[in-house]
Amino acid sequence: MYLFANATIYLGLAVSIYSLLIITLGISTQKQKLINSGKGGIIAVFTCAGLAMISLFYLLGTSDFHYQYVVDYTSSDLPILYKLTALWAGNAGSLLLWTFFLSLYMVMIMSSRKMKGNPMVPYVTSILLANAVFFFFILGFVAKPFELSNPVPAEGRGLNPMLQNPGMIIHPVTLYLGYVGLSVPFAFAMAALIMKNMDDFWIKMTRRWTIIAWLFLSLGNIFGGQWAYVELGWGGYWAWDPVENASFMPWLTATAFLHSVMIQERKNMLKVWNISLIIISYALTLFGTFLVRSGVLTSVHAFSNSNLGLYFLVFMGIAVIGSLYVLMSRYNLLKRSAGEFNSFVSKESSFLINNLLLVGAAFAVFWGTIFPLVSEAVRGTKVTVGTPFFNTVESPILLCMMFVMSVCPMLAWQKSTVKNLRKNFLIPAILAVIGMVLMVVLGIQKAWAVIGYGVIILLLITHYLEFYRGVKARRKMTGENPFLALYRLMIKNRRRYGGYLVHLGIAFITMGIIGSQNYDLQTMKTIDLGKSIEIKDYRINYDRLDQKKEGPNDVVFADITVFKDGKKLGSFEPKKIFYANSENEPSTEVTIISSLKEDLYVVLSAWENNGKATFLVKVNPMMDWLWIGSFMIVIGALFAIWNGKYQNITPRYTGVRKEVA
Amino acid sequence: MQDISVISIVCTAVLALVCLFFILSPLFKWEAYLGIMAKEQDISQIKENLFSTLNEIEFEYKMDKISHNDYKNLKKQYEVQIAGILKDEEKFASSNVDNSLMDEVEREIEATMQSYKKKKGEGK
Repeated sequence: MYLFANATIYLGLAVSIYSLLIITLGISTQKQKLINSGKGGIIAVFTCAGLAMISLFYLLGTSDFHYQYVVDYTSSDLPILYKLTALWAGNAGSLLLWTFFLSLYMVMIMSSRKMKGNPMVPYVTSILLANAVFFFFILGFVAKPFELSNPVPAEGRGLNPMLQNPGMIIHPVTLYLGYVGLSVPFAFAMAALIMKNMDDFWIKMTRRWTIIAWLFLSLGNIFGGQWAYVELGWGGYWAWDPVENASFMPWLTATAFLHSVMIQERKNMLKVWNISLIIISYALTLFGTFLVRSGVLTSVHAFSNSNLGLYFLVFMGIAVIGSLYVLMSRYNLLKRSAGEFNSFVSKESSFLINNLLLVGAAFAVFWGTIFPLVSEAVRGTKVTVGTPFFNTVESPILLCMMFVMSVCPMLAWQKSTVKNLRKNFLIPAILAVIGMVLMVVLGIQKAWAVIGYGVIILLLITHYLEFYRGVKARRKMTGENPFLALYRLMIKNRRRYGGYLVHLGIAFITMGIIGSQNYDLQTMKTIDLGKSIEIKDYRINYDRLDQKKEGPNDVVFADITVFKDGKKLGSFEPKKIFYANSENEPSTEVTIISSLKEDLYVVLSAWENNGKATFLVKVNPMMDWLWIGSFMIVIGALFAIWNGKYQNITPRYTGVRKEVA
Repeated sequence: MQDISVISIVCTAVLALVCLFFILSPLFKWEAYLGIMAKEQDISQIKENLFSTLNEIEFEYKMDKISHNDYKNLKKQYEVQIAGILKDEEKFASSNVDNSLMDEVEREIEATMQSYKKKKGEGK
């Protein structure tokens, strides 16, 4: 196995170097044979990466402690599912997963029907191959997944208890699919620049890729938040941790990119901006990997310190400098024949404002994340920027984005008039203000919450009107019944209406964030057996404290009975698990009682020999809205890409054309 | 170092041969050249884009997003562009669009728009 498993890595490296060179040679000599040989090499690279994955799965599944990676991340008593998913628990395995996804994407691009005869493919694959060479190099010489252990231990160290959670099975996979996915539009953008194709062909080819990458990135963030909420036991879901920020930044810039490419498709504008955005998004995925693996910043999620970060920093530097060089060398061509804004009151203007807000939000997160490094370099002391900084900066930006999202559907492409905007805007605005007044009357009096919910009401109304007026206009034109008109309206405009569903999802998430951040209640009490804790309308009776064995692990648990307004909700069992083979703190299993209104969140924090126990009890309002919104984002994104064809005709607005030399 | 079994050697050799097959086999196939160039945006594609734009403008007018004057101006602007394309297609020599020709072209645009709406629906 040792020979074979290592051969998959070194052969993968050799073949990816060969393919990169032969495709480059094929492009310069215009020989299809050479290109085809390189394409064959890509299939070989995929085969090697796939077999490397299967080999590591096999070693992990069979607890073969001859291998250091198996020793470091598993133990023989670990459930088989966690044994297998330990593949992405460490540096080497997770980078192997990354390499596998990269090779999978390369094969998908190469063998896709719409890419047949497409002259961009050799350029795109060679850019992706350069990435593959880097990753295989890392796997071969820096983070080796198939290194032997010496001496061979009888038992492994086990998996970090925090990672023994269903959320952790999916979270890294979705995040990597998103990270690697962003390299596809980046490669297409670079290929278009190198080939001097200044039209929007590359955007049309990568529409679905970009949305899929964005969807996975969204899922990665959502699953990460969900995991933090149920597993870490502090009652929150987002702590502006450097690693969380690392995955949030490319999400923000990719969101901006998804919107701004529509302006290029329709108005032939923002070409330089779009390419800059995809370069930034791609660079941020590498930057995130650098942060996670370098150990320069402390985080609950980070991998152990290693010199891997340096390799990523160098690779990121080369990628960014190279792509900026290509961009600058084509700058004049990009500026030529570019369209321009015809009106400040238009859909493209609102998209541009939203873009600026998203990029501003990404920059603020970036600055807050690297500030400890900057302060250490300048003043010699590491000053950490905490949650208050991020909340203070990001909250107004989020609210402004929500406002622009509310106004955007009411605007037409190219030219809207203030009069029309006023006509469409007046009723939703009045209703939003009435809603805000009602909130104040009903006792919601925190300024940010009132403004936030007001903007959300505005967004919900304008989006409802967009659907309503769309159906009405379609019925006027076709005479269809309302349901058929709505169905056809949506499936004929998947991207637009899928986008609106995503907007609604974001509105729901924002409702959850505002509610849980502004109106959460918390108490921490040490009580005797038989006593109870009261918080809001809840009463939590502490009935029993005991311990038991769950497999090899020791579990300390408390039996509690929860009542709301005097009515029994049930008996529950918050616990602490002491994992065998783990030197870490015990893991927390929280009790969460969810409803649309709020979550009751109970943590068994500590206990004494006399039966006294300390509980952390929280009431987190509107948490379910956060998860419902996340689900809507997934539905909206899937709706947008379902059955999408890149040949779909996009309206093209010409406006005033400019010819600049 | 772990003992290297025969089966491991065979599997590695097979993997190496498979890789070699993938990269070498195209080199022994018939000679072909990388002659396929990016397809230029053809005239029918531009025409489809313009019809789609007209369709969207009409829809947004019906949704009260643009004023009547803007609607008329924008519609005219794109109709003239389509007229130019249709004129080119029909190989008329004259570069100016006379009124009778415009009327004829407008009727043709209307007919095409109707069939287009049936085919594609709003906004496409």
